[in-house]
Order: sequence, then C-alpha cells, then structure tokens
Amino acid sequence: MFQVLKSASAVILAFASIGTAVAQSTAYFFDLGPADSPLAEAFTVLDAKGNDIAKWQDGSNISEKAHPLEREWSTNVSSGKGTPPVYRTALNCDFLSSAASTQLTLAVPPGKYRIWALLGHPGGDARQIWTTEISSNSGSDSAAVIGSLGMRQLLLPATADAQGLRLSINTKSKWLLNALAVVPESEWAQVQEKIIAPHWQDASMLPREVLEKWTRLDKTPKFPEPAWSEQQLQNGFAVYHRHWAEPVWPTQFPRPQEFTAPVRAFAAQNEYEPLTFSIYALKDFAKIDLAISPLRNEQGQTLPANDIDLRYVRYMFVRPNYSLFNTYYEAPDVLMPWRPQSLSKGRNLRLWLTVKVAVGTPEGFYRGEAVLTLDNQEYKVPLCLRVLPIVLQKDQELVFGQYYRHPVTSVLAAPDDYSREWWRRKTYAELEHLRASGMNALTAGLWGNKKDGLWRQNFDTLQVIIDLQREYGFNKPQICSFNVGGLYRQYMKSGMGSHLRLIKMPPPEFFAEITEMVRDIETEARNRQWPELLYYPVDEPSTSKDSIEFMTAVMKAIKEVPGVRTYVTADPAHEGYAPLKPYVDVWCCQPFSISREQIQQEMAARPGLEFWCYPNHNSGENDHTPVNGTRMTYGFGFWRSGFRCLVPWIYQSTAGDPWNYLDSSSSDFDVRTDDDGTPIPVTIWEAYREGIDDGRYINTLEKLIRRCQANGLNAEAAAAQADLDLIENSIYVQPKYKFDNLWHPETFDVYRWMLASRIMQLQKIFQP
Amino acid sequence: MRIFSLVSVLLACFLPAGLRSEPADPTAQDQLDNLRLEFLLTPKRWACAESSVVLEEEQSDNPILRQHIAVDHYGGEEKYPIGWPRMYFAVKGDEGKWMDYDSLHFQIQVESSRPDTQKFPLTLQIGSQAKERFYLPLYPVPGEWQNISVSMADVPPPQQIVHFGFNISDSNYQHGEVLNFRFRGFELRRSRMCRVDQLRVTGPAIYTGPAQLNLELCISGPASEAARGVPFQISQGSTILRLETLPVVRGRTSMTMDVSELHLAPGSYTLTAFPGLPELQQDATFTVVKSPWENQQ
Repeated sequence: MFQVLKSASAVILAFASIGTAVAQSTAYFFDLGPADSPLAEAFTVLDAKGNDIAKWQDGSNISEKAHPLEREWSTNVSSGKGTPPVYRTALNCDFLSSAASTQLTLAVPPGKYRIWALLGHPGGDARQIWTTEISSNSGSDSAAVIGSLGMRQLLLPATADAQGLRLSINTKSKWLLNALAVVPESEWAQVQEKIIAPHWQDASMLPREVLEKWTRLDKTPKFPEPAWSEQQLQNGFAVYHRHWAEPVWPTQFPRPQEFTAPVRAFAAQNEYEPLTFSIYALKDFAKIDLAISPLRNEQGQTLPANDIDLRYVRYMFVRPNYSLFNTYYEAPDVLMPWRPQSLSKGRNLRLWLTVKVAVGTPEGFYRGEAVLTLDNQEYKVPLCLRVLPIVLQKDQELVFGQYYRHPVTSVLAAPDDYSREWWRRKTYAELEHLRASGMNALTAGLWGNKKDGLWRQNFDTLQVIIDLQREYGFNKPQICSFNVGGLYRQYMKSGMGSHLRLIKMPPPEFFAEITEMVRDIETEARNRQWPELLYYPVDEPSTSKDSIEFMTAVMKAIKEVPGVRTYVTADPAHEGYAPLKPYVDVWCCQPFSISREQIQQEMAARPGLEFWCYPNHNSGENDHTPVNGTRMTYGFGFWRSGFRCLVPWIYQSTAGDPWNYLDSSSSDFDVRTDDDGTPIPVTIWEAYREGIDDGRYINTLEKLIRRCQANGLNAEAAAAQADLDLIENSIYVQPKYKFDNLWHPETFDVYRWMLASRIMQLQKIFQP
Repeated sequence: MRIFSLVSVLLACFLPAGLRSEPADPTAQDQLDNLRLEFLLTPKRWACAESSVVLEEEQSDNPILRQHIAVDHYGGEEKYPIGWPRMYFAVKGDEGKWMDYDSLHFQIQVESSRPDTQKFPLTLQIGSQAKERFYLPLYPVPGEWQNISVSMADVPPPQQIVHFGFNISDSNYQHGEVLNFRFRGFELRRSRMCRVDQLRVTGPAIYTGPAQLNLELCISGPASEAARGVPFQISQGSTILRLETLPVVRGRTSMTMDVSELHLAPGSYTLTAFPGLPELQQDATFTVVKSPWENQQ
C-alpha cells in the first residue's frame, strides 16, 4: 500500500484501511522527511525536492533529517532504573527544516481547505528554539519547539484558486515540519476524527501500541448530577463558582450551591488574588470567548486592565507519581493564557483570573463583569474585588526557595540570535515570576576540577546567577552544590550512583581534596562578596551504612574550612543519620518531619543550625491537584511548623516533551513555558503564592502586636494575639498537608479576613 | 437490634470457619460484634520475600504469627539490594468481606538483634478489589504487645479485601540486623449501634450571613441505624440554638449543614453529635466572623 501511495496518482487517498466510516476522501496527507525513512500509513512522502503535488519555492535550502524508531528501554547506570526511548512514529521520526522562510505550493483543486501540520522531536541541540509559522491567504498559526523534544500541531484555514494553494513557512530561527494534511473543509470533521486525532495522540501522548498497555484511571471526586434549571437547559451550559483551591475536574458535575456562589475576593494593596468560575457544558460549543469589563469601585476608580491576568485551566494526562509508568488519568493542572476555544458536552472549562492590586490602589469594592460568548449567546458573570487599606509585610527571615535550572546558562550557548534572545527572555521572565510569587532563593551549583595544581571552577557563571538573583531581591544564603561526584570519579574511576547507591569508601586523600576545594570556593566567594554559600555535596544520600560513612567524612571535610555551613537533604529524625549531626548546619528534609518544639530546642542549643524542608508532595511530583494542601503548607502550616525554609523540587521539571507528562523516564510537573519563553503557572503554583500571602497577613499582624506591646497597648495586643491563637489551635497539625485533615478552602479566607480586620483595627491606632 | 442479631447468626452459619462472628469481649458484649480472622494464621498461605513466617504457640487460644527478617543490604533482588522484605497474603472470596465491619484489630511486637535501635518501622498494607492500597506505618515496641486498630473507613472502597501484608524497608535498618515481628489476635469489629467516631468541622470559621458548616464524619455501626439519623446540636455556651436529627452514611463521609436560618452573630459555637449521651457524644467548635461582604450584594 505504501508503494501505491508513493506514486503521484495516489495522492488522493483511499481510506480502505481506516474503515468504512471514511470511505473516500480528497484530502492530501504528506509525511515530510527523507524519501527512504519510514512512511506513515495513508501518507505520501514529501522530501526536500518536493513532489508532483507539493512544490517548494525555488532555491529553498531545506534539510532532511530522520531518527530511528525505537521501542527498547535502556537502563540508567546511576539510578539503576529503566528509561524509555524517545517514542517516535513513522510520522514524526523524520522532518524537513530550514533557517530560511520558504513557500510551498500545492496543486489542489480550487476550494476551501483546512491545513494541519505536525512538528517536533527534532533531536539535537537542547538550546535550539524552533519557531514555525505557516500562513495561507486565509489565516496563520505558529508554534515553538524548545530544544530537542516536543510535539506541536498547527491548524489554519486556506483557500485554493486555479493555481492551487500557497503556504508561506516562516521562522525566527529554524522551522521544522514532520507532516502536513490539506483537507477540504467539507471533510474536515471526519478526517480530524479518523486520521488527525489518532496521529496527534500518537505524537503528543504515546504511540497507540504503547498506550494500549497503559491503564487510564478516573480520579474524579464524584458529585451527583444536579437538577438543571430550565434556564441552564435552555442555554446549554451552567456557570458556577468553586473556591480556587478546590480542583474542577474535567467531567465533574457542579454542586447545587455553586451555581449561586458569588465570584469575589479581597486583597491588600501589594497582593495578587485569584477569581475563578467554571462553565459546565450541557451541549457542544464550537467557540467560547471571554472579555472582562473594567473593575470599578464606588468612586469610579478602576483597576488597570493590564493587572488582570486571564487564563484557563488546562487538563493534562498525568501519572500518579513522577516515576511511575503504565497508569494515567486526566487532571486539572496548567493555567494557560486565555484563548477562545471549543467545549464539549459534559466537560468543564474553568476560567482563572488573577488580579494584581498594586501599592496605592484606592480601597473599595471594585465591581465588573466577565462577559462570556458561547457561540452566539452572551452571558455575564458579576465579579467583585474588595481592596483593603493594608500594605502587607513579610517575615524576612524565612526562605522561600526553589530547586532551579537557571536558563541563563543556555543564553551563552544558544545556537542563534533568536534562541539566545529567547533564553534571555525566559531568564528574566522567570525571575520576575518567582519574585512576584514571593520566592527569595534558588539553588545553584559550581562545577570544576583541579588542573595543573590549580582549582578551576565556573565562578563567572555563578557570578551571573548571583547578580541576577540580587537584581530580583533574592538575598538568602545560596544553596550551592559542587563537584564532589567528579572528584569521586577521579579517585574511584566510577560514579557514586544516584543517592550514593554505588558508593565505596575513597582514600583519605579524597577527603583532603574536598577540604581544599571548599577552601578555594570559599576564598573566592568572599573575594567576590557573594552571599553565604551553603555547601551541598550530595543530594539525598541513602541510609545505607556505606553512604552514611561516606557522607559523614565528606561533611567533616567541608567543616574543616572555618566558618562554612553545610547543607544536606536528609531526615534529621532518622536515627541512621545520627553520625552526620555534628557536621550538618542546615537539614533539608520532608515537611514537617520533626516537631516545632524539637526545632526550637535544637536551634537554641546550636547557633547556625537550621531546619529546612522540601515539600515535594506539593510540587506536582506525585499529584498535580493538592492545591488546598499546598496553600496550607506554604502559609498557616509553615507558620505553625517552626521550619525556616520551603524549597521544593523543582520550579520546572521537564523530561522529554514538556507538554507530554507520559513520555519520559520521569513526569513533567510544575511551571510550564510558553512559546515566547514566559512562564505558565500551574494551579499548585498559585497556592504557593497564596500560602505565602497568608503568612504575610500573619506577619503583618504579629508586627502590629509587637508595636502595641511596645506602646503599652496590652489589651489591643492581647485581643490580636487571641485571634492568632484561635487560628493556630484550629490547625490540624500534620507533617504533610496534602488532602486529608485540611480546612475547607473557604476557611483560609475567613481566617485571613479575621487577620485583615484586626490589622485594619490596629493600623488606625497608629495612623499619623 | 433483633434484626441485626439475626443477621449475625445467619452470617455465622454461611461464612467459612475462619470468619466466625462472636462477641468481642464480655464487657463490650452488648455493643460490639467481632470476627476473628483465623485464616491469617496459616503460614503456608503467606507469600514471603526476603523473610519467613512461622506460627508460634499454635495450641494456645491466641496463636502468634512470627515474621523473621535478616536485613541484607547486598542480597535479595538484584536491582534493589536495599529492598523491601515482606510477607503478603492473598485474601480469597468471602474472607475479604470486611466492608460490613467498622475496624480491624491485631497486636504486634518486635524483637531485634540491635538493642540500641529505638524505632522499628514496619508498614501494613491492605489492598481492595479496586487495586487501591491502604498503607499504615507501624512502630512496634520490643517486648511489648501493641494494639493496632485500623478504621475500615480509611481503607479505599470497595472494602472487599484481596491483599493483606507487611513489609519493611531495608534502608531503615542496618545490614545484618535480625528482626522478629510477632502478630496475634487478627479480628474485625463492628458496633451494634450507630456511632460518630469522628466529628470535624472542616470549615471551623465561617462568615456571618448565609453559611454552611462543612463537616467530616466517621460513622460506624449498622448502615440502617446511620440512615435513621444522628442528633446534632448547635449551641453557644449553655444556650442551645438548634437540635435536629440528620441522616448520615456509614464510613468516612462529608456533609454540609446549612446554618443560614440561625443568623449566627460573630463568636464561638459548639456542634455536638449525640448531645446528652456521654458515651456517644462528640463535639467540635467553630467560629463565626463578621463578613467582609456584609451589606454588600
């Protein structure tokens, strides 16, 4: 069949193999790439030379590239775990690309068409940004592929005249295309369902023969179907409000009380606040659009339109844990920038507005409307934001960090101007995003070795990172990994293994060199006036006897350098780590594994000792939906814990295709990146910021209490302290706040309001 | 109550010998039924990995299952030398009908070759027909029988159990350490009357005005008794503001209680289940806060 399709006369496709549903079509399907690479069923080859139907513009400088179709897993030596291959199919194993714009002319009969293009998985340079824009005389679409892996699709209308159909293919760096379909408008729905969608699923999830071995789960909390009102049935949709910290699952019914719940919130003057509502479709909608009217207070003052960020919740296919295979489910996750879209019957669309209330915004009740257009129906959702006369403060001793891969390291190595500018934009946009969300620390590392008797470290790279962080107010001690693994390999001629899985005790000279390396780093850090470095030699050492012996010796070697502090990711409550205790200054462990009383006692007994934690259960690593638990971890729970820092793994976890959570050895999670390099938050991320904001309300009140006490206003201070005590005593204290034993989402706001009310009351006392 | 007793008799007639139902103990005879899980005391039915199991005091009224583990950081499964010594039991058919009971009980003890060790973490696993597993970390104490109780409400539904077992993680122990975990007295229990084992107001602070209390309850006892309802009282100090009986559902459940009509003023309140019945009574407090939206639409 492939040979037949390769002939020019067979470009009009016979659909016999696809089934009787599509008996015949006049669509054209092209598999772009070298002529001798695998060809997808029902597609015809289009190489750099073109063919009888599709002709490239003369002089086009187009490259062909093909990758093998792999299905065999390999073993990661360091972790000992299996690693899947890059799953390519006949359609996306090969592609055409160019750094120059070009034109493709298609000899097709006059008429209206839909153009579908598939692009991605180029392999090669991880810093290359591929931008592909296709334009016709009727429309255009574009997408970016970041680095070596990632699949995207384009869809645009086109009209052919007597000379055929012309497509312009443009790029800011390099374009690539794996496949192209030219489908008569009248056949689009059927072709999309029968041909395009399966191929897109193969490319964007897993090839069908792989996916069929996976089990799809349904994790949706079930609510009974509500009694729809006459109006809702007539409209074909129901609009409802659920607290932002409670997920709206793709096919979940609304609860009756949510139909009448108002969309409203309150905020201080230097705070962001979410406003959300959802649409449940009782029939299919081809296009839903949204506009926001100005939010205006009683005096007619408005919030700037630019300060209202409009997004929707994208449902992703996710794994139950980042390292698990073979089961998946659909879950609410990414907060995509708003774009008009369709909505199928029986599914939800959650709209997510984040309002920024800048300092100096007049107080008041700001009211406006979200104006929905569902096909041709208009529907208005009232919105209200109460702005308070409060400027929130923050406990400046607390560290809100993130494990982080600094994009700035890709700027210098990017292969072309556009890619370099893209990585630069990503660098600044992420730092601003982190800062605006309340973060004030990031991890970093130094890499180097000893050559000709001289330690050579990449100090200048870390200098750039530290300078950037300072620019954004990140002023906390710098968690800094350094090249213990490299030195170990030099001595032992093998790797340490993930979590010291393969560790063997090196000779004493190794540890002497560790001391020497740290001394060299510390000397230069002082020379460069860097913030304090926390020396972080190994991540999550195991509790095996060999691992602990090794780690104890390493930490001891670091502490040989006067004045430095060490950092270890291990549980201080685990008795196996007892030998490490004298040499560890900052323990970073699972939250909140030891009691506040123990933390206070141990910190008082040994100056310099701190307890930090990595709340990975709130990062999306094993679940993308514990939004309410994340807010508790970052706010009231953190306040109650006695810990000094939250530093989860990781701001952005990407493995394989960043928009495909199933395709690689570990799942993707947390913040995504838009085509222009700007960050796209996930729902959990918003809970980080809101939790931190809960802490800011607490801290603002605590400072006012101290001010009252300093001024002899003991009754006022006691009343405010009673509020804090009531809140603290109502926390169901637990190590990990995730789903169970949490406050109801609205309770957080009630307590926050209790704090705000008291703040406003005490502020009045001190008003000049 | 008589109907329930009849059901107990019928169950006893048709259940396998290992699932005989009988009163739990003389003092609680009129409140609890129990079901001894004798089938778990059959060593040959346990599938052991990196451990072994035998029965001790076989002829006594309370035989003991002993799991023996020699911690080995270098042996065991090739990919995971620091692995998970374990013993699992495949629960078959009617043996796994635990859903009619409120809780699982047994006793556990540990003996170790390392006298300096303080913690002996062990994990209990219970797997339902839906392939979902419930895990409970246990910390047995050397030389002391510790009572373990697992609420069936915590086990994922359906509570038709197919898997039961224990495992340790080698990483929590030192290489060469020898452990003996002992288990006895496996049984299921159920109350003969509806009980509120847990009452929590998950929204312990609400605004003035239209409001609902969000509650989490754990209800044990016969489902029919739960459906007949539980009396709930809302009070402030000694003033009773409302007393009503609401139907509840057996197991762990959420419900909302509309308190809008009470027009509660700012202050502290108490919600009580089974008020006036000290042996059944459960209390939870909540706070009403003046709304930021008062006098606003």
